[in-house]
Amino acid sequence: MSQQILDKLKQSIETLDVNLAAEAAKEAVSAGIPVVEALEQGLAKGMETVSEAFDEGEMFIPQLIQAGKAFETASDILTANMSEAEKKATSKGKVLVHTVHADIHSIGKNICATMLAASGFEVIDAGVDVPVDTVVETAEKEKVDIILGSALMTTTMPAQREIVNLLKEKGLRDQYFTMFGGAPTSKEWCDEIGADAWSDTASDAVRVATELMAKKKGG
Amino acid sequence: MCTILCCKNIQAEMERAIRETRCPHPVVWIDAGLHNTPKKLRKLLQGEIDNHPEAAHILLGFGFCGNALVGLTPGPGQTLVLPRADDCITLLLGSRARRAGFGSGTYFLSKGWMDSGQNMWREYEDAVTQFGRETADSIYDTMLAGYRDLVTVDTGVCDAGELEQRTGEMAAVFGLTPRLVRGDDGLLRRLLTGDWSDPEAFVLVGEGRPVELRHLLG
Repeated sequence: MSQQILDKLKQSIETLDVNLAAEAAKEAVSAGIPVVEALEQGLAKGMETVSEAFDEGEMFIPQLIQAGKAFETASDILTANMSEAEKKATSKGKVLVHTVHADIHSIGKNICATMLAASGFEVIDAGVDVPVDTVVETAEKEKVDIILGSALMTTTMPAQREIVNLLKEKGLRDQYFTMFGGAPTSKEWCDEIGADAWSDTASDAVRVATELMAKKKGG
Repeated sequence: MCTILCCKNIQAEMERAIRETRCPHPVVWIDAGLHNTPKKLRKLLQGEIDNHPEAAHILLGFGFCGNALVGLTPGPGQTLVLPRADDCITLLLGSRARRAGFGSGTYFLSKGWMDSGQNMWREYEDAVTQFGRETADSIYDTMLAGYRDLVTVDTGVCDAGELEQRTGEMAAVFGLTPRLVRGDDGLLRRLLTGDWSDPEAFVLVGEGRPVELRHLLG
């Protein structure tokens, strides 16, 4: 029975069906399926399929947005009964998500924020076109673990380097993990600018953020 | 001997530049839809480079296109010539500086983009068919959040009145401000005539070295 519900959650994302996502999430709650299991074995698996279809040119941005909506709808239902205190207690870490300065592209950033939040991270979404100073100030104020910045244009990518450099200048580099993504970015780019990690997709962002936090906890 | 590899999205503009500069080099036209799948585009371009060992220079009629050009490697005795452009819109506007002047709240179109199978309008119509108009409109509100202008680059390869009308229609549906701006094919002409000395405009990548992102960023 549980597996059927998990399959239904996965299928709802793959078929971009918001109503099915809501229905499957309600069934998961009724069946007492743990939230983490429903997210990781259901919704996230569906998102992986969608990411692969996008990479292969079989789905496009509108379908990606709709998948994000289905994911968000289901995860809201799955986590509705968790109190803020419970969410905090089980938090995997705190992530400051933003799109870099002079870049207004929000889709990838929003999907990352949704998937990270649904996967148990506390997410601070600073929005788009966020100046480098503001990123660092917000990270300080919110005491985040990870700074995650998205850049969709080659002209705005250098802001990712500026964030790393500003952290160094302020003597804060060791306080935060820096993790970047966006279509023109790459692992080589993140290595070059001295970032801690690069993620290719929203699903990958969850995996990478989880690994970073494991590293932090492991010292 | 040179060979040109060029995206079909700018075929009309490139053909005119080839004609007017009397450029004798052969051209391989590459499917415009591949810009959505940079890894496939890179593989196809590398295959074409490998298929033309006789060409001392491979001229790329592409922008960096989602990093699709990063990693391309010329063969023995070959040099790749790349315009320093983030995408093909820069090629149609004439320079990166001009492109940068529009800011990031600008959605660009051109004749090639309008006619291609994968433009914003076609994808919107597909979304209406798939999800219904209300949901499609909601998706596009999300997708275009932050955009203000819909700028069509008039490169002179088709009737400007028709471009203006189509731009206006799309802008009305998407809630953007329509603008028509004149194109500048100077960068394409310089690519074709061997005027590659300006490091702001071109990168030459020689034998055995892959194209790197820093070549674009400079």
